[in-house]
Amino acid sequence: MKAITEHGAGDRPTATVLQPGDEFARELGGGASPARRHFASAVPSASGCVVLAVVLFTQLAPFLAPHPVREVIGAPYAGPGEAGVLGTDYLGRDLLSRLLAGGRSLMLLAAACTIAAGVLGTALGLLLGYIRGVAAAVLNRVVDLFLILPPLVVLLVLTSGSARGTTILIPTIMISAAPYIARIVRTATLGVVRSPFVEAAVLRGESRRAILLREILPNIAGPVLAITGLLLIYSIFVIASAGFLGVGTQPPAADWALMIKENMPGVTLSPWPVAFPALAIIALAVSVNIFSDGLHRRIAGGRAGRDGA
Amino acid sequence: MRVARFLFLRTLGGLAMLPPLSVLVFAAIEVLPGDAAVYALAGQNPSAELMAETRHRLGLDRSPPERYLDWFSGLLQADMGRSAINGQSVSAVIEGRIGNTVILGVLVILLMVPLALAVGVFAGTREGRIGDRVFSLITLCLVAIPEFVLAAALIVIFGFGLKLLPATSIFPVEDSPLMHPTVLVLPVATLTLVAASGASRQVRVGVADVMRSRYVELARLKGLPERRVVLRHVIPNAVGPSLQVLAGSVGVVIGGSVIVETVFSYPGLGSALAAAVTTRDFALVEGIVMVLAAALIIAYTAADLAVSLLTPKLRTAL
Repeated sequence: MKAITEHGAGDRPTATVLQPGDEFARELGGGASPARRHFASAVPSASGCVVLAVVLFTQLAPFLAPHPVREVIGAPYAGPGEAGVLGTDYLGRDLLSRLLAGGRSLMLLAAACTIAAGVLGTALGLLLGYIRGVAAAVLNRVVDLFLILPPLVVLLVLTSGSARGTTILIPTIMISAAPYIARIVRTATLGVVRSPFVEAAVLRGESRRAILLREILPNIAGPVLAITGLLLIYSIFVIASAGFLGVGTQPPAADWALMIKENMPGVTLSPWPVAFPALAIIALAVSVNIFSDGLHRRIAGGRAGRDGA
Repeated sequence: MRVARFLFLRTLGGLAMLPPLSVLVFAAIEVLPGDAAVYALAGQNPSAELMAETRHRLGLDRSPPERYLDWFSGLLQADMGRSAINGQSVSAVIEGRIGNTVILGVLVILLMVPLALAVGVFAGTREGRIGDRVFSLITLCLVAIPEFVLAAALIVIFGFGLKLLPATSIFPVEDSPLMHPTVLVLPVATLTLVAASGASRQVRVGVADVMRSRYVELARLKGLPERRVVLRHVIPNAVGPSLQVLAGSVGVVIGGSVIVETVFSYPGLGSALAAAVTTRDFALVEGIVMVLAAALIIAYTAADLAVSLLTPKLRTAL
């Protein structure tokens, strides 16, 4: 939620929706010196490297980890160096091994959720921006309805029954994120739907499907690409929060959010089992956000430059 | 008169969202797998008769639409039914905890609004300069971090490292959290940081926008000092859209309270909701979700009204 709303995209039912690229186009508008522009591109590049490193380490976890994730190697809450390199968790399992393995499911699941919610939201937004009349009004109200509840509340409603674990997270993220995506895509669609090339396609008698996919979609690719980064952050946020609330990844799996939850009661005995996974999530989320923000500016800046020429 | 009519219609429009929302929440819990009677008798290895009797007692043998109407008419009279797990009245549980969540939320909003406005105006009036870059990078980092991770980091630093503040916010049930101010510091700080960083980014965009407007240019050409330009020309024009942004962050505060209350074991509605999900207490889940939704709708509607009254050109014919 916060990841998506912070760029000014439709954060709530009646808010004025900003074009997602606007903020970045404007930010570039200020007379930045070459040195600052260099700085501005160095930070996103560095964070891109961090993302790559995290992905690499977690995907290689089975080969790098010194112990199996469920093996007890020493006393619970042993400090770094006392047992294992980083110490042990509340059951005496190796912290380093669990830390390496703990990001794998988070990242794979976040990627799956991003694709699923992105496709649904984009399709819905294209339709909402194109169709007119009663159907559009009704669909718009339904989308508004879904925008009321915060994503974590949606998550808790959907997981209050027996549907728990990682499979419920994909529909949860689709249901809670698609309306936001739809609003952004709808705004972008409304911006091009009156263009001469769309009217020409209508006059040529092309099908609605062809017009949406071949005429409109390529012309709003910028905003669609930009929201992919936001969706990824959002997915990481929801999946991690679900793990922490106990309705996502289930024990004894190694998972960063679950590690924070499990080791929190003993945080006053040993802070490391909480601190390391917290740092891992912070590193991943922050670097993904900075990288996607940089990419976003690049796209918006390129467009602004072309428009100005 | 027109304003009164406008106020009335807007409020009505907001409240009209509640019934369809209640259908959605009820239907979601109804459709998803999980039998309330099974959870109510968990660990008892019940006989078929006991099962049937429990289903009858909980009203599960009636049709879903019938039960929905029953539940919804109860909602209108502030009676949300009883928990199938422990027989407690849902309204009583909510009554006992809502005050704590309100205290948390109000403190966060009181701190967040000035903080978000100050940072947003500071960065927005220095667009592209070093002060803006630093604050933009900080808020960009903060908005990406999930609340529970930020809370965990604060607990490790202030609860364990510096031993300044308690790691959990547990206090006697009959007390108000205001009687134990130390338990409030970390939960309030976590939520304030998250909500304020997101809101300040949007305030910044609004302010930067106004800074580029013709009337600000004119004010500068008139030779007004920059301070006066910002105070008299930029802030009044940026405040309307900012209000909407700040109301939007009430959603962040309410969603975040679920997490933050759980992290700190703070006895509010959010931690009750998370606990109700763990014990599969459907009646309690439905009740708390509806209360949270009502609070959100009231906040959004109030903000809409304030924005519309401050900027007449936004008033739309309903």
